[in-house]
Amino acid sequence: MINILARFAAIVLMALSLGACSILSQREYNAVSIAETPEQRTYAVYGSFVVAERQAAAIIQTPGVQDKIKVALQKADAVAKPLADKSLEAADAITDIRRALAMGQTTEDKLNIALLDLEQWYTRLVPAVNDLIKFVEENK
Amino acid sequence: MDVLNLVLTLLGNLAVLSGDPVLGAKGKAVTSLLTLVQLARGGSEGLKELQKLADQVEAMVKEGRAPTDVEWDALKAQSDEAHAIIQNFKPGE
Repeated sequence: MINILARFAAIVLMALSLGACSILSQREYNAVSIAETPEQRTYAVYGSFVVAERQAAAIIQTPGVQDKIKVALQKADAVAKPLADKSLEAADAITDIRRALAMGQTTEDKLNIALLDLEQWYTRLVPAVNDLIKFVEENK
Repeated sequence: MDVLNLVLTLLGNLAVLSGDPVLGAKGKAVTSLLTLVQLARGGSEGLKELQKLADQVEAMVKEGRAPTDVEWDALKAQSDEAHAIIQNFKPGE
């Protein structure tokens, strides 16, 4: 349990330490840096993905944007969306397990397994978002 | 085109950074997401949405709680709606 939380904390600390001053100074817009628990962080990541997805949808609906850009966004979104939803499910599962743990209805091992599951989905999600970037960069 | 510039700015800043040797790809993944704040630079709508998201998460932190089912459902609904628009696009239309 401690190792898993330490890994999450290490990831976040690394993220914060590599963040530029401009990013840290814009904390009010940076939900990921504000979040403290894996569930909150996943919500922040998912929410950030949604912001990007909504902007991509706006592009899709914009006349004059080349089809190749729209197709690139479409493909990248098709990859990222299922990973985002799996991350959501994993975070939700952790919340349920914590509640059960508080009532003595489950074990720490179950929580550890759920945290590892979330971590795996979480770290697969972001490269998918990065692929979205790549497709757009290649086609702009 | 504000919306296009907004997304290209966002996506252009979501660069994959070199990973920490200890954390490897995991560190890379989380770090790159931080730059989503750049999304706010390109347009007021993105700014408002990011600020709202940050306010929501800040409230969770203050209250010491996880996201509620209602919050998750609302977020997923927005994603589902945007996803449907994106996936319904057909080239040449």
